[in-house]
Amino acid sequence: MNTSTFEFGIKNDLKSSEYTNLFGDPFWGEAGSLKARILYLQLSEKEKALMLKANYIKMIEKARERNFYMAADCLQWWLDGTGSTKNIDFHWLRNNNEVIVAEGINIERFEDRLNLKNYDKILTKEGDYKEYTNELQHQFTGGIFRELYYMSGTSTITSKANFRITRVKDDLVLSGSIIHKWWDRYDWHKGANVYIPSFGYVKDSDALLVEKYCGAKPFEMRGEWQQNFNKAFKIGFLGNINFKLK
Amino acid sequence: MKKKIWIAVASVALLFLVYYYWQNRYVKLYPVVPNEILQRPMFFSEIFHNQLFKFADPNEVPKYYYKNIKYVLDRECQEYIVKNGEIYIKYKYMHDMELIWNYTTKTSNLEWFKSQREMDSINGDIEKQKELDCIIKKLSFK
Repeated sequence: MNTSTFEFGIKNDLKSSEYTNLFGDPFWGEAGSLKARILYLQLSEKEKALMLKANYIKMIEKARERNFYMAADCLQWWLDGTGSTKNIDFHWLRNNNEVIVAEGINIERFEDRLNLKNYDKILTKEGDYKEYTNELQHQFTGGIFRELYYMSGTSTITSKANFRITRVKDDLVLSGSIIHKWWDRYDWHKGANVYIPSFGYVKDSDALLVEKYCGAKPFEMRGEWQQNFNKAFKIGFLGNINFKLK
Repeated sequence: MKKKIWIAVASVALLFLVYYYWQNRYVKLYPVVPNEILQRPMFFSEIFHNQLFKFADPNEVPKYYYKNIKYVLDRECQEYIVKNGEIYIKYKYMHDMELIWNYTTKTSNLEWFKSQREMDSINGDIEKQKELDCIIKKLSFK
């Protein structure tokens, strides 16, 4: 898609900077461009959508300038109306501290549950084993200065654990894996808004207008990775056990 | 001086007791669903994590919540009490809205029940399997 100056702007003698300044930046107390605003109010819904589309194109350019390539790609994917599912590289996801923290929260919750199962009392003989399968979900929001915030806002990580706990002498050996699935729907909600530096509070209703007239389309984002475990845990003096997976 | 130290120690102890009571008192368990937030949190999103969830309105409660919630709580080793047919859990757990959301969604998650069935089958828990079969059958026809 051509992300240069939008044809509509040329026709109406508007500079791309005026699209950007249309609504100003209330965070810094900046007012929008009066010229752009007056023109905007006179427009039909479709024309407004075209102007807003130009604003999103500018946003993609700005994101690339800040090296927020993933956020830019996702906004482009939505604007192009590609739809379906966009697979997000799990290496990129796990480079975000928020994802590692979210993953850790689910792992800790598995630990809590495993500790409550009293495997040390159930598995008494050498070679005794039990399977443990469970699933947990955690929602999280990216930090305001981080790319993840602009790419997905709030997303979910679903972790599925599949373990085998085996008695080996005085130890309990835990082996198996946790499959983490990160997912989010790239969509918009009427009445919501989000702060984007240089663009101010961008309303979700603007995006819905672009969807209505310019062919932009919501889509699913997914990423998946697996952690394998093979750890031995000593049964304590009092017969207790403390599973620590991290 | 000694008196002042005693008063300070007693105050701290009293505060701790109040806190302990507050966290461990039993409160009614309500189903929890995701909250569609209109103003996304910009800062300290983990502190305001509960904002992402809300107590379910009657029309938002998963169909099999009331039938299966006890089963889910037992499976998750979650301590609870039943008073007059209502489930109560400690405030510290109820305050973790995400935890309760996890329990709420599991009550109607056929795949989760199937995975538990498979686990019981490997573990040789025949008694639990029958109960699970019954739940899976009902969920399959929803």
